Amino acid sequence: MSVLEKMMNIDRRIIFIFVAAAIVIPSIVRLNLPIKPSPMVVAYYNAIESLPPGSVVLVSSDYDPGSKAELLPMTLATFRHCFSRDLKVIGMGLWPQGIDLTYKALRQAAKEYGKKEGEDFVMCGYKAGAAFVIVGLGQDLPGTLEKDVRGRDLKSLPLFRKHNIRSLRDIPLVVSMSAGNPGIDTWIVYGRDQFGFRMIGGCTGVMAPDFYPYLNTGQLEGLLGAAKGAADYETLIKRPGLACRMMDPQTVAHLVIIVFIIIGNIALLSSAIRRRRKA
Amino acid sequence: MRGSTIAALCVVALFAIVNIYLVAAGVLPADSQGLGIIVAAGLTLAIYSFLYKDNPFYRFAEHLYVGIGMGYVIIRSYYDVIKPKVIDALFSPPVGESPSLLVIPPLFFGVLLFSRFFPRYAWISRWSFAFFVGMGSGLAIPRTVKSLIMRQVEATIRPVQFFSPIGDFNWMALATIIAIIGVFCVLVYFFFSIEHRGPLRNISKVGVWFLMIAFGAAFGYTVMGRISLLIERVQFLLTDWLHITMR
Repeated sequence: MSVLEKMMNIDRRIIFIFVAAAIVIPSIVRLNLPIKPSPMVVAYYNAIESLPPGSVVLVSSDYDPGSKAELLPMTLATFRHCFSRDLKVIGMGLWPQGIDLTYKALRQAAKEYGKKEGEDFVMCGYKAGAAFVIVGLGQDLPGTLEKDVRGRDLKSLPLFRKHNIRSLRDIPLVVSMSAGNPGIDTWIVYGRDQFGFRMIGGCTGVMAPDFYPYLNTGQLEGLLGAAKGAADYETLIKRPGLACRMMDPQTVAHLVIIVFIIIGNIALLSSAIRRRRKA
Repeated sequence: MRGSTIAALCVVALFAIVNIYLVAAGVLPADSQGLGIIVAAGLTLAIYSFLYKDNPFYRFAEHLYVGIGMGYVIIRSYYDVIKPKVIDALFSPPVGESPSLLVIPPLFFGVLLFSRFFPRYAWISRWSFAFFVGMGSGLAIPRTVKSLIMRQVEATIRPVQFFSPIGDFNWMALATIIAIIGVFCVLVYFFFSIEHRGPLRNISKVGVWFLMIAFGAAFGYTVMGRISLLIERVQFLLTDWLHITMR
């Protein structure tokens, strides 16, 4: 059996060891590889930058802890960006499992920028019903969300009283952090195209290619895809954090996978050529 | 005692020794936070032990994850939805307000869904499903056609501008041309009413290439996403559990 044939039958656990080493070593010894933001991340950044101070941004946390690694860094970075621009944030979620993570990130960012709950931000928690919730928000936003996670009536909070928020039409920008359905596409179909607000989003790597057509049509102004999108965004807001720390091991792990793909294909082609010669 | 059992006991003993050392050395706090980190580290290692082979630690962690996940959703749904929207609305309305009777019709249809558990009366749940399907379709079809079909068609047939108003070549116009060719070729590939011969065969072959590139991009993103999840867990083990500082 030649070396290449042996490579074709390599134990998958050997590949796992290489991938593990490719992640562990750069996690301990920093390589500080450069991070260049992609155009769709720049568009996401510009969408928030374009809002005048005091504008209200609605952030929907549509993910669960299984997607924390990809979506929490971009959620935290979005809150930091919003508060640094003196924007008001309304948090909510169409998934029940991600609310606590998002609320924690919201309070962390608010503490860093000295923002007050009820005045500068509010977390309305999980709302069941997906598309029906979005349609309800388009008709009567405080009536659909009703109370924040602390049980306070939204209409009594300074953020709602001062900005006279009645429906999604009064929200200039909606952000959906999406790990599946309901998520970005639900917000576009039932919200954005119906009520005319601007929309940006963040999503897991698995879903990112599905949302590219929305960028082309302008239904989605900007998109953060996976940890790479989050790292690009952290670089743009000049607050390198969780995602930027992941980029060195990510790059090295990708290189290892690419090397194995090349070796596998060379082995496959050479064995096919050898079989043809024998025949 | 089988070799695999001895190996499993050794792994557990090693994990215990490491944690005892970490707590004794003051690396991990000896409180609920430290216990949480130890449990999280143990479950992470148990889940990744599947990469070696299927084992009882993996199965325990998997079942625990599913159980806790489901329990969390139920509790969240109760306190965020059922209690405020149903129980409080009916039995403890705000002072000065009467109980909201509008809750009763959706509650009635919701309760009917539980008839699925009784085969003899399972047919009753069809009333609820009929309501959901009817309302869902009415809400979804016009919006989906508008947002996912008409808007995409509109974007595809938009006039291509090769030059910007100041006369520079617009490179995005090439992307638009490629998108139009891709849409046409892929549609031809999925057009099964005529046998793919001659020029049609070549066009559908180009369509297959477009599909393969799209699948490749999607798979690449999937790999990136999965690696990100692994990196987050590895960095948790290195920093939060073992406290190995990054340089």
